[in-house]
Amino acid sequence: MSIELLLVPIGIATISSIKAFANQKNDSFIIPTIMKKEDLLQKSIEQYGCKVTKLTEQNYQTTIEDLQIYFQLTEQGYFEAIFNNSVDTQAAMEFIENLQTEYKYLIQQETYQHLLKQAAEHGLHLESEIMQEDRTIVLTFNVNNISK
Amino acid sequence: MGTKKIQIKLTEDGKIFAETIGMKGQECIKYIDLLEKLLESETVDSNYKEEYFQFEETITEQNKLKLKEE
Repeated sequence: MSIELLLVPIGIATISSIKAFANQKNDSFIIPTIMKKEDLLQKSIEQYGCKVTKLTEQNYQTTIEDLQIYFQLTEQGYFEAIFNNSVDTQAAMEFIENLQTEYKYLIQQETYQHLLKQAAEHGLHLESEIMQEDRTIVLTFNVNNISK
Repeated sequence: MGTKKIQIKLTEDGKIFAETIGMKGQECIKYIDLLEKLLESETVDSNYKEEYFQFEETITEQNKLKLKEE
């Protein structure tokens, strides 16, 4: 091997840890998330078993047991979750952590599909595909002349 | 000449590890952009391995003739 790379999908924001911040505007608190892609955010919420309502192009709402949670797209390009102050902070952070786990799995699957679809066009031919015990997908490609 | 390969690992938590195999010198560099495009991702860290610092031997026809004449 000659070079090793660590890459992060564009659909994932680099946020170090889940934290809650008081919202100065009203009785709510905000949790920034790593989620940037609205279609996968929607899918994640739906796969979590919740219904999603699109309020505007940049705002979504979901309801869990009478609790309404809003997701708002920030200027930095990631979604932040807004909870009413009546919601327990710890429970809210746990919900977001679980949601993000689902989101990251969807990102893995989307990346995998995109890679398989386009690899051959760029001179990469799949030699092997392995799913490891920790659900990491390992793909090995033989390389022909690179095409641009 | 060995077979040139690229191995890509997609983890469940969204991280991607990619490595080139069997490429010497700077040949691997041209694959960085391609991988970022195919994986819809950005490189956040990289590590050059031993092979990067090796040179691939290329013998041109001119050199072959020169050696023959000598």
